[in-house]
Amino acid sequence: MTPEQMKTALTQILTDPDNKVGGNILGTYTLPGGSVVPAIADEQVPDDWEVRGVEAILPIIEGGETSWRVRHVVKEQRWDVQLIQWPPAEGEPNRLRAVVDRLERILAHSFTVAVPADDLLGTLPQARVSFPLYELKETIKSFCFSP
Amino acid sequence: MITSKSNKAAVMKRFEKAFQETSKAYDQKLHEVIRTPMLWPGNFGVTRRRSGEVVSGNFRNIYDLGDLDRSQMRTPLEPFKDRYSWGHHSAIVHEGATLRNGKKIAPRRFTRVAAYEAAIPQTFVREFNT
Repeated sequence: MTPEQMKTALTQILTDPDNKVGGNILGTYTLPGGSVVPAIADEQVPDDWEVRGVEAILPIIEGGETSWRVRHVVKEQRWDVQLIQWPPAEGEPNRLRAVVDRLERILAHSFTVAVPADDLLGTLPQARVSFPLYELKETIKSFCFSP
Repeated sequence: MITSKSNKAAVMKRFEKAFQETSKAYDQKLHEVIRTPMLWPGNFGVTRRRSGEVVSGNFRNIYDLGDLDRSQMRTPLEPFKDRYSWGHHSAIVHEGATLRNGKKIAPRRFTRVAAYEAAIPQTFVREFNT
């Protein structure tokens, strides 16, 4: 599965207004030209893009983990989604909890590492949702591309 | 007539010993990873540390004043379950962070590096067999 396909699937889960779990809860990028796109990216976006709400970043290079079964070494491919809560648009609530909640409900074998905001260091609240690849494949089959 | 003798207690003792030794080895390896400079992925510029040291580039340790290193704690919870915990800002070192001005701190997953370097399954098997 390529990062592009992964991005498409996650965008559909988090932004599609017609899907089964509710509406759009992902944040937005406002490009210098004025167009608005969903805030999901492979890496850090240019500085002049304005971010609002929850930003999702899929780091492309993330090592798989090996684990020991009875006498075999098994390679598991995991994907991480990094979620960052930027100041939301006016009149909108902070939606980090909702995004984590939706991903956790759809990807049952995922785990989340949440880091709260730190006022002294000036960091934003963030969370990392990590899930095995097979789970998203099943999700796409049964969820995203169903008629 | 066949008689058999259970040696479950002896086997369990060996399992427990192997677990204890592996856990200690991982603990030591975590300290080592925090203290030893290594190449962390990500973009790091020049950092002026609180200890007065100035470091630049990706090849660095995560020691500074030693708060992270000293706050590491291994707590036995159950017979085959230990918890490792660290102090206040450890989550930001481990997970990375985004500052309000848009700058990013790359994650440094020292637990993953230590788990790889400590070779936990192999250590467990070796300790069980000796």
